[in-house]
Amino acid sequence: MTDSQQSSELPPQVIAELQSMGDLQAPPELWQGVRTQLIIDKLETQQAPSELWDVVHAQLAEEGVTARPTKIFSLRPVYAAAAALLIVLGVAFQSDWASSNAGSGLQLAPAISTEIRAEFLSRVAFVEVQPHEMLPASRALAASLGGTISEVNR
Amino acid sequence: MRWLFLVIVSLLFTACEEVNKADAGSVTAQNATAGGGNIPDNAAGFLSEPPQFTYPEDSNICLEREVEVPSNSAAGGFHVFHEELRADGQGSFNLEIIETRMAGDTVFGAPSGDVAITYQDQQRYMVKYRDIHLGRGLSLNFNWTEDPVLQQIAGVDCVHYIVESVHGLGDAEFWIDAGNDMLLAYTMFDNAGEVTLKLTTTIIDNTPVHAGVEWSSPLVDEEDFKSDGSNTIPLDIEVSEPLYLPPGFYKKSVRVLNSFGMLPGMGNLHVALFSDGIHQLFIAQHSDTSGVNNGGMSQPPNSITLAKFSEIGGIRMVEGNPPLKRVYVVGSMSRDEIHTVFSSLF
Repeated sequence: MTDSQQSSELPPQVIAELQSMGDLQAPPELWQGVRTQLIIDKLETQQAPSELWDVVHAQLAEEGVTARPTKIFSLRPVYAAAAALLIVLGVAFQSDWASSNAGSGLQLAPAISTEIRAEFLSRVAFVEVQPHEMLPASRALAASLGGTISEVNR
Repeated sequence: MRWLFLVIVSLLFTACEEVNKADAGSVTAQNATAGGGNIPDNAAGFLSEPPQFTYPEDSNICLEREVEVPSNSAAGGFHVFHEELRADGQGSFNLEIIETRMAGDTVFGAPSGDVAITYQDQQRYMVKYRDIHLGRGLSLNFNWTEDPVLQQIAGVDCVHYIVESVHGLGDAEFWIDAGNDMLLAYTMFDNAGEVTLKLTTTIIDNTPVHAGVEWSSPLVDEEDFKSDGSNTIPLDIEVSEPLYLPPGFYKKSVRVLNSFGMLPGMGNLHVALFSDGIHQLFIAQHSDTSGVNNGGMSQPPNSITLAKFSEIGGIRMVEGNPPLKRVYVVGSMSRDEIHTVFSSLF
């Protein structure tokens, strides 16, 4: 393709092959595609006039299509990346705060569904007894929390 | 461009802070409006941060106080224990029972033998565990309201705090000395709004003379549990961890007690304390080689476990015996919560 772009004439071999095709007609889309590619190739080698953007922008602003360009577009990529990182960290910090206590890493037990609780409870059968029928270790632990034994409670 | 970057950063953090404050305010207002538990509908003074308390056992002081616990008898009512707490401000303290007024009685009388022995043996643990000491997670698990009107406790102006459990595990009220933030009174409620424990200071002596006082000491040697097996008090069991805890609870401390041989076949005791910042729950376990268990035969590991359950003075106890071990769950939580915690160990 490069050679074709540079040369205004087709190579003799191609001419000969085309002539041998006789009355065969190329589809209309072929010429349209070739024509478009030729225009693009020609434009790539040219520079737009410096006044072009001003003209286009003025026209678009008059039509209410665009706003004035903001300064953020002039931020260097490193500043934009830093701002994005801060946003991500801010979101992560906010969500982490909700589940822990002031950065201490405290893990609090979550609320559990009734179905899971019922599954746990199905593993054990409980028999209610009088306090004095519990083992001394149970009663000592209860006493340390304020469950004081008395003769009345027997 | 640098100034713009700093402006963006400052705006970002300001927005985050404003969102946090707005969320906290809306949550406390919503809970107060619902009027859950014992929170008065017209309470004012919502607090975004819980207060700080000081505790009498850390001071040189002598207090008399009355502790009320619910009776387990059919007649109901409360037992009242009139006790004295002494502390030297150096870490030593002593808790003694003076007199009792059992449910149904109209006057105070001498304590029974059981009560006297309990205070003598358990005084150190009652001050450490029964008496309220605020833990962590307070702002997440509770909504705090300060009563704008000071109230008198033992002749001292006190700030009155009303605390609502976010998870419905039981509310509380606290009265602290407005001058030194010392906790002088509190009332604990269960999830049904019933009083489970009430402590009221009646006399305060800030210049006590501790003559002949026998300071409390631990019943047995104990130390913090080390999971790497380096404890000087050895543990001969595989510790069972609960798969369920009441919402908002965290593991507050783990201790190993030198209880070997205190009961036939009993090994050293592993005691884990869990808390939501106010309520507390013990899960304790030790080896058991006595061959005695609930059903007469050691149960296969995956069978349904039998467990005994009882309640005393607002405290609920569950005990059971997987093979070669005994496990206890003890706390002031509702029966359902205690049972679920215990069940999740198997």
